[in-house]
Amino acid sequence: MSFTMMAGESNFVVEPMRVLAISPGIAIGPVRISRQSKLSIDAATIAAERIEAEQHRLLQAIAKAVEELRRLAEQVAQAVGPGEAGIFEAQRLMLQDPELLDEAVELIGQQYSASRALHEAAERQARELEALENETLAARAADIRDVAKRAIRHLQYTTSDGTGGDDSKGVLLVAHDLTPSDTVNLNPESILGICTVVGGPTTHAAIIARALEIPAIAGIDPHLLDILREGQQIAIDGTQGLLYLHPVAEQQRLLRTSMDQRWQERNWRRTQHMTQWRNQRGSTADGRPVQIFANVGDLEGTQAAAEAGAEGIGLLRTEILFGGRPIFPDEQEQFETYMLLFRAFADHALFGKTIIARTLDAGADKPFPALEPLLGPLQEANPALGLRGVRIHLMHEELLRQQLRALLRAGAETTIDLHILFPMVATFEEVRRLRAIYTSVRQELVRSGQSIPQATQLGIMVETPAAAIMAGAFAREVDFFSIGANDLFQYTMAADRTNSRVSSMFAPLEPAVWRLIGQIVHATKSHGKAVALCGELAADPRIGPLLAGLGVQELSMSPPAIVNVKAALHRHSLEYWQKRALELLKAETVMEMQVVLESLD
Amino acid sequence: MPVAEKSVVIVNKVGLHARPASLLVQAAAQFQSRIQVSCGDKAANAKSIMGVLKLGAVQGNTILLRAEGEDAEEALRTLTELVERKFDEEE
Repeated sequence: MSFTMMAGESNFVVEPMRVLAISPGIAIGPVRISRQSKLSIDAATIAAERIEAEQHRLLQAIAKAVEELRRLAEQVAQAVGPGEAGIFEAQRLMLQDPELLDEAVELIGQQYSASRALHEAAERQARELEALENETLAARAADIRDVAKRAIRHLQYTTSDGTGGDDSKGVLLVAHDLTPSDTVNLNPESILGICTVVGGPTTHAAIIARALEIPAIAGIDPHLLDILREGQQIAIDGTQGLLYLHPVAEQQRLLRTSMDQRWQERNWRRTQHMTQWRNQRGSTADGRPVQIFANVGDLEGTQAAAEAGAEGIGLLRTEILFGGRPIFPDEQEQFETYMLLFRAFADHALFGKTIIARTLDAGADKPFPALEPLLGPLQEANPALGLRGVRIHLMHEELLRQQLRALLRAGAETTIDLHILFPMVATFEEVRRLRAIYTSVRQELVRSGQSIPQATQLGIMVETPAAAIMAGAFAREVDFFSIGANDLFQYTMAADRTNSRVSSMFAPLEPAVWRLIGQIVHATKSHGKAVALCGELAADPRIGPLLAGLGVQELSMSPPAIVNVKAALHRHSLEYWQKRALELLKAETVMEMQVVLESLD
Repeated sequence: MPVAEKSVVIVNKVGLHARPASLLVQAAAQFQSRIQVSCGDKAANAKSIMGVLKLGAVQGNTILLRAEGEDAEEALRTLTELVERKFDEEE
């Protein structure tokens, strides 16, 4: 490292580092470290100019955690008794303790990150308590560690918005990994390039980066997240897989010229697409409709979807309401949030007002601390194959009922056309039970005099190979299917998308996955049921139209990809896309698929 | 600046443990005065739960409360009463 630094300063040309090439193109610009990336408590330092902002961030996180503890104490006092609530009162005071706060604030002054400062300050207090050799006080050491963790969770889930600085001038995003919800809000106008620690060509980040023509690399050293300074100039080459940590002046000039040229071409294309396609529905050259929907997970994304010309919301992720919180939102809070989201889309949508809301898919991207009291600590050796999605719903029906009630009530109050989607289904028994629960919730609402939407369709995600194989049978019980291509890929290939050691062994499109999608479409269509696809595969302008050719009626993707896919789809007739999709079905190797893809014009 | 000082014996069973300490800190926080609580050779800010806990005061210990500020007298009265009432502990 020291050699690189010295060389950078003294104008030696330093060889760039070899990393994984993810999305082609060159980017050079200031670093922006994504705060949503995994913040390691052990080694995070901040730049001197960020001290005040970081101290502010700490106080905000503490205020949130204090509020949670206040609510927890109230709830426990009501449910169990004031004596039992006492410990949360004590915890709240610990978090507001002047000794703890002074110490943490001072540590940030020494350029500790907020999480690390709080962790360290709490640890010192805990050790002092333990040193007293009094058993009951030693137990309080656990409390102070616990409250620090609570506040640190808030630090890790606060986005850098407002504190991270202005990215309108263009930045290189450096992150541990980008989750689906991060990619939804990626703005191709301001993100010059993406570097992640985790990743391979089939990750969300990779596919969306290619779809949006944002250069990207992966497999960078995790230490870079700590070493890189915000605003430092770096460059990446996403075609060859190169990272320039300290490009010298001459390199900078060449890289910038190359980037600017491509950037201009791309922006010109995007602007063209935007003006031409935003106000058009998705269709093939011969006018056959293919609905182009959006995947969203928050208010910002929902508005962006409407503005980008989405014909509906194909996947409304509801995890944002539940993630990183110690207590789940109650029915009223959920109802109010859904109202906001539904209205945000309905008020701005250019076309239909369909919203397909997916019930909580816990156990996937983010931890759900509120589930711990119900399920125990969610530390599984293999979370992707563990307790997630409807498996949790069926174990704790009351959570699902509450969410369904809130969704249906909000659906009735707004002008949207609501559909409900269940994640991670694998068996027929699950489908039947989900349907029964849904029916009983509807009846319950009607009996209690609540208004509910007239016709709400019920669908399941096809993510597990089991659901793919059973799709024909499931079609008798549900109204529609939504293929979750990202998870279906990883379960079919038995390859973790976020593990670059295996994910890089597979192409974004494997013959096995294409054939399986073909079988799902065939099975569901022969029962007259609608089929959608909501993975990032749909966002790839080469592959989206071929999925339509395969018979998928609705493609759902990140909002910025919408106009590109509409444009691509309209280049040929449905018959053309069908023929090409069929050729892909015959391909037995990635190479043969590649030949088909490259012969598209 | 008025200053008030008073010694008081911890009579409740568990001493200045989590709940009593919370009550003491919450009571102290209502006053403007700077309030110090000491036990043996240790002293702490009475508005800091960590400080109060670290005193490790148990039943039978004497603690010294010292308040400095406009409402020092009232603060001391409230706090000593709380200790003497055994923090309303149910025994």
